[in-house]
Amino acid sequence: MLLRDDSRASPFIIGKMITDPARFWGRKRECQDIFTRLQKMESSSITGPRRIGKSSLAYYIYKQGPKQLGEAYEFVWLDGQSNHSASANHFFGAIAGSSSLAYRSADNLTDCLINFEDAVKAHPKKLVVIINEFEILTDENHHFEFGKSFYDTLRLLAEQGCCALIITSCASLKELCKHVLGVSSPFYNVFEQITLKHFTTEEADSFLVHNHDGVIMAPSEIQLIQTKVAFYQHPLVLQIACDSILENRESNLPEADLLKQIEERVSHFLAHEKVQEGRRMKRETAGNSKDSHKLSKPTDMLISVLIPVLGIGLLMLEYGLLIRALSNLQAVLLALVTAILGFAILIFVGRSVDIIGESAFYKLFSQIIKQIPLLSNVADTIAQVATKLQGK
Amino acid sequence: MSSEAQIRQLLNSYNSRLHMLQQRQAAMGISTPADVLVEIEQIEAEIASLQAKLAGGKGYNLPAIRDLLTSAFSSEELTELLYDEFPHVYEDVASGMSKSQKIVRLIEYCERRLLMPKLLMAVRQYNPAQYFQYEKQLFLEEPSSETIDERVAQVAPLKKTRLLGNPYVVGNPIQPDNTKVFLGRFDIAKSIISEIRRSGQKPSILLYGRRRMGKTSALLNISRLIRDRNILPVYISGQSVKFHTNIDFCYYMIQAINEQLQQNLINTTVFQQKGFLTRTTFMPNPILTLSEFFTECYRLLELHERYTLLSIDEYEEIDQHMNTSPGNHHERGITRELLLELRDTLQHKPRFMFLFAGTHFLRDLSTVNWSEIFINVKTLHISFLERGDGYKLLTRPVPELRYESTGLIERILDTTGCQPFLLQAIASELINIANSKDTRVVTSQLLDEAIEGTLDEHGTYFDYIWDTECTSSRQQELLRLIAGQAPNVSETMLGSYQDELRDLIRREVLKVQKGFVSFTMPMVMLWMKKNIHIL
Repeated sequence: MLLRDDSRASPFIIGKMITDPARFWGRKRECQDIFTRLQKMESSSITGPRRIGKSSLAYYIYKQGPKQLGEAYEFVWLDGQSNHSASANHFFGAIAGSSSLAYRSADNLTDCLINFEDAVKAHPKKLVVIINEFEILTDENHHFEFGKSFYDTLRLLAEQGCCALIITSCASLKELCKHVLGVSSPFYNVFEQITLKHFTTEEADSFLVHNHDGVIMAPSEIQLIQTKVAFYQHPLVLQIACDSILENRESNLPEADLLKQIEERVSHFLAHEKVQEGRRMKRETAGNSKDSHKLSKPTDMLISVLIPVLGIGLLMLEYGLLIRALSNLQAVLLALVTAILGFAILIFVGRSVDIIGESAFYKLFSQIIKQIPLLSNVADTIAQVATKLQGK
Repeated sequence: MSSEAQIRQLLNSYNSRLHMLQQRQAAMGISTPADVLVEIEQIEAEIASLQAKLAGGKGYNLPAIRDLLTSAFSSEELTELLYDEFPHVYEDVASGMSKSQKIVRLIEYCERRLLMPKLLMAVRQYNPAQYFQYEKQLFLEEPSSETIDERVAQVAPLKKTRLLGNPYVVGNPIQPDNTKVFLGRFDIAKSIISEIRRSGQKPSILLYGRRRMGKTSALLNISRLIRDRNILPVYISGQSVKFHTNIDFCYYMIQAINEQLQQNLINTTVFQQKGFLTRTTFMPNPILTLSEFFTECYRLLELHERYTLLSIDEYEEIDQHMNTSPGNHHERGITRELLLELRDTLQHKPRFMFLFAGTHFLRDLSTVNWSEIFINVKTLHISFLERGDGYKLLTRPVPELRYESTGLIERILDTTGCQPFLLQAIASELINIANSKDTRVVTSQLLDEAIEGTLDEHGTYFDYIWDTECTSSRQQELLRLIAGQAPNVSETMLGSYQDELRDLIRREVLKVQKGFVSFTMPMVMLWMKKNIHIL
């Protein structure tokens, strides 16, 4: 096993955007697509779940763009640090501040838009504006400044080939902007949507065998990741797994503990996305089997309806049977507990989990489950009050 | 090595270099560096000169060239070649000549003007397979011992090792300098030209078409389409905030006209003198100033015997900024008086013409009655590409990409219904996939991937059809019904959906052929099936 130089920090990047192009991995097809489009000054929208590597890809384009496309291009990077979301004037000012664009700020929105349009058209270089986390511009606080005329100006410049946009966001542009632009604005058509998924198995495997600043994973370690770490093709999981294994070269945890540690670290970062994305990836990596697991919408709906009906039926049955044997209050409490248990059993039966997990009913159910401690307290209080009343 | 062999070898290496540069140009489109363009021109000139040397005193084998042209082009393609490369011949032959007559006229012209190398170069570019087949017979000399396959093989390895250039444009309109992927639309050009050449008052023209049909591309390429130097096209876009108030509209439109006149070397100092190039001039009464400008500009156009074609793209956006409240709101929107001034100019100054482009008919706009103001409007409908143009769009811009069978090309044309945006999107995706797989052959599997990729990456277009073109849930129901039962949905089966059917046919989502209803773009159906929640 070839170990790293221990004095060196881990070369694996976890939870942060990758800013060093040398450490950026995979996404060749996506990069090629984006650069090909940029040659024609066409815009792209990078979407995908959190922690999948959208910002890293966009930053890679930002850093590599000038090398790939030459000096005729000028790249601008806008993110949460750029203070560009306060107003359209700030937005254009931020672009001018990061480039040689001769934008003159103005007091009103119309003049800002005209000045920006003129500045970009007169700009001697091809301007590529990369907006990381586009969501910042589209929330409800920014309707006025970033309204239809703002997007129309961006679209006009993009269509005329004066300015190309690369934006990153978790949701699609349509989802983000529909409250401002409607569901089918021509603004969306300017972009090609690139949806980032997990690495391909080839990309992930080549990451594992690569020499990362002197760190090379041993075959046994690679095998461990490939066979025991769930969803190792996810870029973050891959980095965490490698980092944990690297750390473990000193601590020598047993395999089970190491895997648990990896899982905990992944959970920490991915939180609830892990569940949703994991399911999705499981279906994807299972290849064609995804269709066999997929139930039609009517079936899904049927199950979603059937379960509450069964639950309520059970509740009523319990109530009917027990009401005679127990006191009223005890019967109600028992029926309630039984109903919850009934629901739980039904929900965790077999493959219904997957279907229900995506159904509206499940979402409602999880909310109810969260309220159980509260219900229990309410039931206790009611029981105490009832006892006191009975005593009196 | 003989001198002739040396020339041939030189020609081969020039051809290889030219091919590589042309690929680069295709990939970079408008951003191709000037040095590349210059080198292409130089090499073309060198090749022409070498070919002339090769022909030597013996000259060209004219019957062979005639045969080459006959087999390389259909009559329509030949007209297009003339239109693109030999406009003088095009003007001569436009009136219903036969194909062979056109060929004779073209050969005569090229021989007289020493343009034979240019002609051969153009044929080589348009139809390389036929060119290589005839190449050895084109000069009055003994053919070399190379076989056609060897010739093609010399070019082929070059293509294999490099990424294919991707000239297709998806999302943005096609700019005038990207001539490779703007095809067809001659019907639009002819209509515009005939309207322009009418004597007396010119009508205004409405270029009407559904979204993504190529209206903006047609407007941007209008001068290439109409090929008349006397007509100066001026493009303005209604979506620009510069055209949303009277003051801004008048000021910025004048700037655009001034710029176009200057580019055509017309002295416009009079505009400067009269203050038309200063925004403050427009503050008190922009419409009056505009009227004065039109009068002044008309004099200049008369003097230089020119016409101005003012293209207003997305004119509906201007309608949305109409201010109909009483009073002169020059700073708060566009007023009816401005439109009346434009109409007045149309009626009395025939050197100005207006071309509106949008997705609505004039009568459909609600803020003001445009059809009452612009009474003499000729509507041109821009729609799906002709099948032949679609075929050329798929095969010509990147000739190195081969289709395993012509059936695959037919499949693309059928699936997209020759909708220009979808054709560009699939063609672009095919090149991206071919590059990523290092192949130059489109197989059925590769095409499946490209269609899938297009559905994923450009879903917003299909969203638009589903959410906007369908104006009611019953229309969506109708699409579901047809998608579920395609291809055997007869018109009579849809008795209760007649209104919806009529509307979706008008919106070019559905079509009726021989009593059967189907999607104009079967890709919409694929998208619906992919998005199962819709079905």
